[in-house]
Amino acid sequence: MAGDPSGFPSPRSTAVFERRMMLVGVACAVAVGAMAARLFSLTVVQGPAERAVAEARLDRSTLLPTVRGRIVDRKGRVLAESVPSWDLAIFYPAIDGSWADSRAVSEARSAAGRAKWSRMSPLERAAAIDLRRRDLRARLDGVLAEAAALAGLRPEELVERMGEVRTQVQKKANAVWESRLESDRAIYGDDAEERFQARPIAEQSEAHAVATRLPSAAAFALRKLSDANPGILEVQDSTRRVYPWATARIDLDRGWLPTPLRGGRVTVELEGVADHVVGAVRDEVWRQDLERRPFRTVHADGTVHTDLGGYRPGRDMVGARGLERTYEDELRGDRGRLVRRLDTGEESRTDPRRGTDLELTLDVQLQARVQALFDPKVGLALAQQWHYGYADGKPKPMPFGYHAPLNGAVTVIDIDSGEVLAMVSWPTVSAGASMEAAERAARLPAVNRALEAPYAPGSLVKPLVYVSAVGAGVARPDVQIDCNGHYFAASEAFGRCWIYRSQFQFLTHSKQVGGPLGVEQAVSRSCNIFFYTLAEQMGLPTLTEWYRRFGLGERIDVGLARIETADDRLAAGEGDRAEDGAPAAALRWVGEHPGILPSARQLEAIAARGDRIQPVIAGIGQGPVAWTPLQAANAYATLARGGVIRDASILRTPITGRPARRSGDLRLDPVSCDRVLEGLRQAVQARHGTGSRITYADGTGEPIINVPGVSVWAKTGTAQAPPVRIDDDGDGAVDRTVTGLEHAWFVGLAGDAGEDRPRYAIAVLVENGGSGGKCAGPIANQVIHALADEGYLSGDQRLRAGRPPAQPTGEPGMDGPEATGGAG
Amino acid sequence: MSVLVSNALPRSLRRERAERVRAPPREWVHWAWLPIAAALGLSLVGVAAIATTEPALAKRQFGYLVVGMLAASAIGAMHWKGMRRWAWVALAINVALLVVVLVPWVPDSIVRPRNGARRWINVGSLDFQPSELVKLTWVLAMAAWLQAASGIRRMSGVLATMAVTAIPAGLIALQPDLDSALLFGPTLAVMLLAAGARVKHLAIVAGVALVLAPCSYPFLKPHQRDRIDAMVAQVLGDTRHHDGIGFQANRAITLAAAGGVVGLGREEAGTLIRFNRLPEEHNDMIFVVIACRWGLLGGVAVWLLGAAYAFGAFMVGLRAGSGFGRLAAVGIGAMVFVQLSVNTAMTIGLLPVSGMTLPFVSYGGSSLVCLWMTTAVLFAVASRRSRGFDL
Repeated sequence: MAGDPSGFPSPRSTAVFERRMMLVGVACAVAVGAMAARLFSLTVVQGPAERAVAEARLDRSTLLPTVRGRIVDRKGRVLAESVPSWDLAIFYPAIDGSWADSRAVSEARSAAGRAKWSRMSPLERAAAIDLRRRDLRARLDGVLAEAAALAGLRPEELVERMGEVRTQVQKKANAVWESRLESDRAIYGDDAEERFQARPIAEQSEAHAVATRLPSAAAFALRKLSDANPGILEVQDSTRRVYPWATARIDLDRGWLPTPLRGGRVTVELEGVADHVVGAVRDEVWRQDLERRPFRTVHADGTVHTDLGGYRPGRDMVGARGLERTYEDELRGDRGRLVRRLDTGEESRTDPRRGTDLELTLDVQLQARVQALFDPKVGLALAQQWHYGYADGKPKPMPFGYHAPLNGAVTVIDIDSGEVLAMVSWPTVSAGASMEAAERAARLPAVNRALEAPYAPGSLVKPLVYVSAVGAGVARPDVQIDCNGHYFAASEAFGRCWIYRSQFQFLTHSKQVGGPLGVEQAVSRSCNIFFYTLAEQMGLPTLTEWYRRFGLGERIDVGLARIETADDRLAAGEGDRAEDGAPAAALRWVGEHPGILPSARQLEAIAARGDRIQPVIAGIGQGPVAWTPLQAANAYATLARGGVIRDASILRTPITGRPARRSGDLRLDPVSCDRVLEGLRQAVQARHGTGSRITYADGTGEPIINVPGVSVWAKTGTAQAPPVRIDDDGDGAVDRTVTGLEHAWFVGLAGDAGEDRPRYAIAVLVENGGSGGKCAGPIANQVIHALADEGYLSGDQRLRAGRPPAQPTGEPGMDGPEATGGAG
Repeated sequence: MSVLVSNALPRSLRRERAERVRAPPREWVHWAWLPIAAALGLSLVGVAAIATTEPALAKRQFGYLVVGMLAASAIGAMHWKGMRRWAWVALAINVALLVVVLVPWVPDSIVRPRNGARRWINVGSLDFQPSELVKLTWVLAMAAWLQAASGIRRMSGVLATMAVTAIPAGLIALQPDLDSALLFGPTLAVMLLAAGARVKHLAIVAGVALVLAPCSYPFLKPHQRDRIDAMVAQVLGDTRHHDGIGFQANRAITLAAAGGVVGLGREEAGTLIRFNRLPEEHNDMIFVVIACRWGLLGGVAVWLLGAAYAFGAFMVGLRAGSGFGRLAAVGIGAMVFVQLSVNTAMTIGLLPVSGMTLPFVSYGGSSLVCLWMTTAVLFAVASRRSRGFDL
């Protein structure tokens, strides 16, 4: 070895060799040891988990679609339903012609045989391919023409749509390649261009829809065509949600309207009947859906959990607003799954679970009739002079101009069961869709005014103040109070009774009735002093507590509100802290306003500064008190039941997982209830009642409530409203502020003639409408007519005929128009 | 430098030598049986492993095994002195074949490209890989050179051997087959070590190589860079390459781990491998099949067989009576062991995925036949162990 020319391994070199080979041997042993350790860790430590991963790949699973639950009204009429629908989709290679090219090559090659093909020259090969390509092109054209015919398209239309698809896909491909090139440049620098391969994007091998909403017969024929010609077209499922009552039509009889509006029949087109309540779906899955309820979660320890009802990115039906959103999890149902083992072919199947159907307490025909009342053709929701009245023979100024459109809300509750029969908010969401942006910004059609917006109750609280005072032991049912026109001795302008004005020659109610008033007179004439007195005697804290018992200040959970947990908020990208840094509440409600009551801090502050005004005006529903039309109807329903709490609900289907609702009995003094109801009756029927008559410019008048054969109890309310700022020219700056506004309230309780207790509570609110009795009253009158038309009240059949129902004109559901309440 | 020194002999010894050459004694009890047994064991394991997913190929591999053993018998009958005499010529011819494979003007009928690589020469219905044979011819040539070289005690000597090695290694790297080219390094190091080069010199060269290795990253081809990226990502637990460039490595690790300690048996292993779409499951990734089918025990058995082969080769080298024999045996043992280690390490995620096959086990005719011929050289060296003067 080294240096030894004889090539003979000398003893010394052998010893060196041995030593070195031992070193090499040790190195080898170390290497093997390290690799064995690695293999040990893989097989023993990670083995079972990896085996599960490898075995999971043996399963091919297909998801089976489910059906979203329906939403129906109390009589089973369909308000929202999913209908199957089919699209015709053409594969991209058939659109750009490459289907024919690639098939031509493979057919030519297999026809020639492998050996011959490799011997053919490029020219010969091209000729063989061309021959086949022409035939295949012709076949492709034939198939596409037949598909167009089956789908009801003209051939040119199909060509045009395929051209659109092609342009879009090419645009997208260019964008995707550009961005891939960009990211390659970031990694590889200038090399990126040379190594970049424009790999085809997914859309270039997928099928694209060219004709949508095909009927089942066409879909069936197209499917046969696609089976016979694979790779050209396919039939895709495109189930969609229909809302039969998205539009409707009703013939309104204007015979019972106030005289200036009276007329014959008029056809009203309704948009979005009950759409505030029912809501709508969207067809795209958003990030917050994926985070709230993902289809597939991989936990830290490697286990995978699949939620068959969960969301996957892409197209899906997801509730966007209203009940569709609130009960998204219940309506959605669960998909099914078919798992096929690739090696054995055995299948296991989990059936899909249909979504829960929601049964509402609403009566959609009643809802349609009530919504029609707000249509401009009827005139009740346009500003009229008699809403604002006359002073000294001259018409009072109308704040928004003659016939300005007004916003409002109506809630109708069945008193015995607490079920909501109708809940209308005007303008509806659909009506808002056809508005200009400025009008939409001013009128906010997306707000459900029946329960999302609070308004000062005004005089509506007076009956509640009385029964509360009796309940609190502060007054006796037969209490008599003097109305001297102004409550505070020191001030004649402040704390007045509404009648104590120059235009009425500073009248007082005591002068009118000739003595102190009892509650019947106080309620029917809506005397302020009576209730200022009771309110101050109770004290604001007690009054606040009683308001709370009647349902103000807390949500009654009618069923529309979504309850968001802290997890939902995190999924939506919000933090777990409230705005002031305090930890956010565990549950947050979205979609129902709780109303406004003075908070404990406010009560302390009021007491601390010895404020006498706030406690007093709280008695007539002003100050830090506000409620929604739903709460108004609900409170009056509680009163009509004698204090039994059965809060309004809109859903008949029981839903698990919502917080328990309140129950109980306020145990109102029966005598006080009777007496206050008498006052409410007089408000409508006695001439002096605030809800009895409308007076016109010429001094004539007529009853507000004119439904024959029906007993009505009612309270009017004219509540001070905050000023409205108007930007006339749309430049973002406020141009004028309108003050002196008043919300018009009318709560009516209706029952059949001869009954001594009402069956239905109707709350009507017209925003900035002026006088409660004159603006909201006629609307409530028409609602009672509608109740009679729908059979809830018998009415006097000799004097009024039932009027024809509304016809839904939206897309019908699966069972046809009969199921939606339309003409059979 | 005095690298090649002529074997000048005193006249008196020449006659003795001529007598010896005429009647060579052949031994039958020697260490070379151990590598032969190990090679047979590995070959049969290979046939069985290939049969897990590709029974047709397993049959062919068995045929190659028979051919290989026949070729080995032919080589084993030769005297190693003939090998020593013709080593350089063989290497030169082999290098020429490597050039033929690379040269672009050679028509496709002779050099058939496969997967974009030009490595095979078409001989009738078979494909023959010159790069497989050059490993053997190079070891023999180096053994012939180093057995009489005194210059390797100097750094210049070491560098000279590296320069000569660079020729076949470089040609292979251009194919492109960087993985095979890298085999030459460690093998040369072990041969130099056995031949008596200074450890210090070798350490310097190794250190420089280690430092320069990362700097070569920008010069690598994209797919080679991808493999390194994928491995780094795998080690860091980053899963984004699992469906792209890291697919092979990811599936390999999953399947190797799935085997557990004793393996899953033929049916289940075959099913899992097929449906997990392990690429190259009968050549580069054959170790994964072994680990999946026979578990940790199977893997350890392969390593033990490989260690036995290397140990046997080193013992042959120890007992060899000539410098050539010693170096040839050591070089052969080192090359086979390094290739086996690199391949298994790559399949279980310790090294970036490469195209290196598992010797004796992976499917491949030229590789198996050349390896058996290599083993036969061990036999030739061991069976004619000479004592005393032998040139």
